[in-house]
Amino acid sequence: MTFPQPPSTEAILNGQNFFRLKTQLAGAGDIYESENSGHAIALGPDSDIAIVNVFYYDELTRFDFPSILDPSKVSSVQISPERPFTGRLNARMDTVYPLTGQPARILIAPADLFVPFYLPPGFSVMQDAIAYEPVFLDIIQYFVELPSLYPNRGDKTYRYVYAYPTLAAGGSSFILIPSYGRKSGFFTFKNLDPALAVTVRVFGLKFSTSNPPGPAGTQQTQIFTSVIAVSGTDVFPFNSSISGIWDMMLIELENYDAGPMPMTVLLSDRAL
Amino acid sequence: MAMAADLVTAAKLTAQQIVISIGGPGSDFSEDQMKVILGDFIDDTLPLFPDTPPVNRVVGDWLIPMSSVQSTLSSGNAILQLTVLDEIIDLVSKMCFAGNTAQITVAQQTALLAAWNSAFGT
Repeated sequence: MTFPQPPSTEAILNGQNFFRLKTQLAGAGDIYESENSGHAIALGPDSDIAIVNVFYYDELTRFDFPSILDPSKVSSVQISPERPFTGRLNARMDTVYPLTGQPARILIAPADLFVPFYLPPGFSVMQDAIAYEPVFLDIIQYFVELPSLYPNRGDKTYRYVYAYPTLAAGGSSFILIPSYGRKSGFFTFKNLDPALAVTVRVFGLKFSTSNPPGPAGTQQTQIFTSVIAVSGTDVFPFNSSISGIWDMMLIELENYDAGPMPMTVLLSDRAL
Repeated sequence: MAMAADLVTAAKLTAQQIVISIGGPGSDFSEDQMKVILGDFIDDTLPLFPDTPPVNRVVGDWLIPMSSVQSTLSSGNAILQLTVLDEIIDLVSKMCFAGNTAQITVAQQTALLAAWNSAFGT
């Protein structure tokens, strides 16, 4: 969690009819709060995270598991790019969640998994380099009824002319880009190095709750490769129905020698 | 079997160690055993993270959904559903990750790690 987090109450005092929680994820265990009830909650336009859990106070949880009479009064909804939650969600600062005695705030946490500073298998600290794009969570809690036109998650474009230089000849330079829930995209590569052909690979990453020293659960699958000759270009049209839906995309430039290598990556929620 | 030396390791080992603690690979995953172990973990960690100062909530908030899941586990002889098992692994490991990155005290981090080792690290 970025701490302190943006206060939802200040949004109300400022007369806003919504509270926007937009923050770069600090770690894999980030959880956020709102102390105010709202009429709807939706993913914001700049969110990299696609699926978010929202926990809230609910008097009726005893009916969720009738055989047990769940006493927790904690209910949850999941929101995603296509599915905001419309309906009143209560923060009840006048009472507590009965099982823990903590004030009944609304809690917001990514359901998508995030592994900060992921290193691909075989990564050499003596030879390779890696750049991490930040991962943002963007949530909008509405204090009025959800407008009929609410902001969908926007397409995201990354543009580069150079990647990080490798530390030794023959090394690879990597770029890690969040792609949670993205269904289509377009990658362009142009090699302006005066002498070297560069091998480009794109991998999809699916993170796991289990990582070494536990079982290595994170999956890395190659979905594109191309050898781009001097002055050459190539493109990779990403289609999730063929290549899959991934948490992140990893671009590898093998034999990259710090020359200009213009690249563009566009990721979208629209299915092809 | 493993003990964790730090909270990041605990988070990464959570899936393996929870499965071991409820019977191990190849056995029925025992729901009543999970209820007891997770309840002990919640009981040990809840006093560590009072509502104030607010930085405590960066970690302690995870106990709210965790206690909800724990309360819905049966004390009978049922086999734990895989979706519930995954949810518990997710909540416990994320709480450990949060404990590692949050600006809580070293004593709180040490106690959280001790609670994890007591519940899952035997």
